Amino acid sequence: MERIVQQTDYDALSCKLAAISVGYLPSSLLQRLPADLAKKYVQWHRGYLVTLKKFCRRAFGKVDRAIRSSFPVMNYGTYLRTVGIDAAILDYLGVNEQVQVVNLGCGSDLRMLPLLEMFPHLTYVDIDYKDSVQVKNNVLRESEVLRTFLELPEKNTTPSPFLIDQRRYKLVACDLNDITETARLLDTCTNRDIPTVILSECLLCYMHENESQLLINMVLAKYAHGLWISYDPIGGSQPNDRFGTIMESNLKESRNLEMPTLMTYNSKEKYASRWSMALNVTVNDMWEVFNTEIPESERKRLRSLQFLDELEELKVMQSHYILMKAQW
Amino acid sequence: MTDLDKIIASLREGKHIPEETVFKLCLNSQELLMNEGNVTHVDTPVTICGDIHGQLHDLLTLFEKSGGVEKTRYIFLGDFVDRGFYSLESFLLLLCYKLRYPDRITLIRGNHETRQITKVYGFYDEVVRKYGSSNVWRYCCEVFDYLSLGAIINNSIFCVHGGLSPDMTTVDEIRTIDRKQEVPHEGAMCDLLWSDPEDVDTWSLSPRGAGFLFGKREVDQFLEKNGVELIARAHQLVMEGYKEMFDGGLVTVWSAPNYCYRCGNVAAVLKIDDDLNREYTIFEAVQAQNEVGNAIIPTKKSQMDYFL
Repeated sequence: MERIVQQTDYDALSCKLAAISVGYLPSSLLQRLPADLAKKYVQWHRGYLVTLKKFCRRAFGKVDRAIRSSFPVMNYGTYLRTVGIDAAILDYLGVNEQVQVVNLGCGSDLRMLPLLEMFPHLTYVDIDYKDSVQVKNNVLRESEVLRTFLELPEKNTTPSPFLIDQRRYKLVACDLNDITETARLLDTCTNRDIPTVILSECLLCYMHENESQLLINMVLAKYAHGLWISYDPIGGSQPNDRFGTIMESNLKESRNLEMPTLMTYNSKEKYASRWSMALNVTVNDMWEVFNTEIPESERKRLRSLQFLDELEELKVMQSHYILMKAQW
Repeated sequence: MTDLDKIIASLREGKHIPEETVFKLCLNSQELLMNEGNVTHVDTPVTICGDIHGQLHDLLTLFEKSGGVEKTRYIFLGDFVDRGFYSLESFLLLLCYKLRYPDRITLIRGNHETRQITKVYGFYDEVVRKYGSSNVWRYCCEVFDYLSLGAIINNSIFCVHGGLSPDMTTVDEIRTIDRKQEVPHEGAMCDLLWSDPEDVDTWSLSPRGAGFLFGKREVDQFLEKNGVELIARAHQLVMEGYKEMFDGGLVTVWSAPNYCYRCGNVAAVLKIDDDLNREYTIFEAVQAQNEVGNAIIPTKKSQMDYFL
């Protein structure tokens, strides 16, 4: 199961690279990127893919094929997911001077790069399964554009589980189902007293109910103040809604992938109920995000990129993914 | 059994059709379609069908549930190809029926029946995967250019894939379009294939990037001006299979159940009888496997169709 879940990182990477290649991302406006960073954003992601080829030929092949056949409805969804999360992070970083971000289940996500550049006082921790962060570590050190930006030595000299252990950026190997180990590593590489952004982007959906709740409880108890940003699918709770059950069976059949709580936390409210001890919890489905947080100028830009053949399909899909923000 | 019947039997089983056979089918179809007007006249009783999108097995269910082409007249409102795994077989099956029973089946062009859209949405890739070259895709695109833009049932029901155009508000004007071309990015021909009904006060920008949104006022004017009582169109996924709007002046019919093997919707067809009564038939998607566990629908999908 661990390996099957790790493979989903390549889906996320494919989606993001596809959205970049057609021009959905970056969004200078919503990701608040100055022109030079927007340019670098593209270079970093391309650099990551090209370098990935050296370490995982099969993964590269899969990603490369997927990028070329990505439907507009998927590009829209990737765009919404990316700018939705980024806007939430940026809002929080903008009002807190000394701040840290912890990306739980980071995979190959590269959003630490623009953020480290934009916020000089930020420290950033990426955590994921050992196999995933090893690939990421190899790629970051091998790719010249990434290595140079992070000022990384080519050779890895830091002891596992800290594959990268810089003052401002750490890459840590950890099975997040192991709550004791996760707590221990967070104690080592983060500061409990400064405001903390916890990011979980398609992480909790692969965890069992008990493990995910333990993780949430542990983190909320550990940090004095923070913002948890979570993006996940929900199964749907309307009587005639079959999206979730079809999703379960499609994923099971095509790749033996399970989402143990998809139908347990099948509505926005149920999903967010796990953070009930936080002070302020908001949760929106991504269709709401599309309709309320994307200004007309951006919609116009998106329309000019590709014809969207089916708006209702976008609505069906996006109303089954949520963005949750819990502040404490 | 004629050659055509043999091809139909093969297609129904999803079997490979030789390139030369496809070429001949497409050529014959072009000759047949060439003589049809932009807006074809159709008599009742007739069954109106919405988007198919390469869901061959669901198309077979559609025929089964609605009487079959041997007994019933059909209008297909376009979007035969793209998204599903059997775009080619679905389109060819409809062409074969058209050649075999020319008076019993009318095919209208959808916004997916174009070179540009099929390159993005799967039909082109499907053909290259199945034949190793794009020839068959090219033959089919030639046929697309000859498909009608609309149909009119008993001078009372106007059928079109998408909707109305601000540039042409009468059926007679639509008849004057030179349709034998790739669908343009703007203008009446584009709008007929791309527009959507919506609760808007007047013509508005479409979120799809082509066509327009039109409201009750535009529909009422069109009905009045052309002496028709209903606009039947497809183009938009409807979870319940069909949706009537504007006091019954417009209906959307959607015929691809569990669209993209993911959306969980049911599908519908609309039968119009001699008194213009409307009767909807709802149907569900076929199972992914047959009773002995063999895959009917391929489950190893190349597409990344969920956000993971």
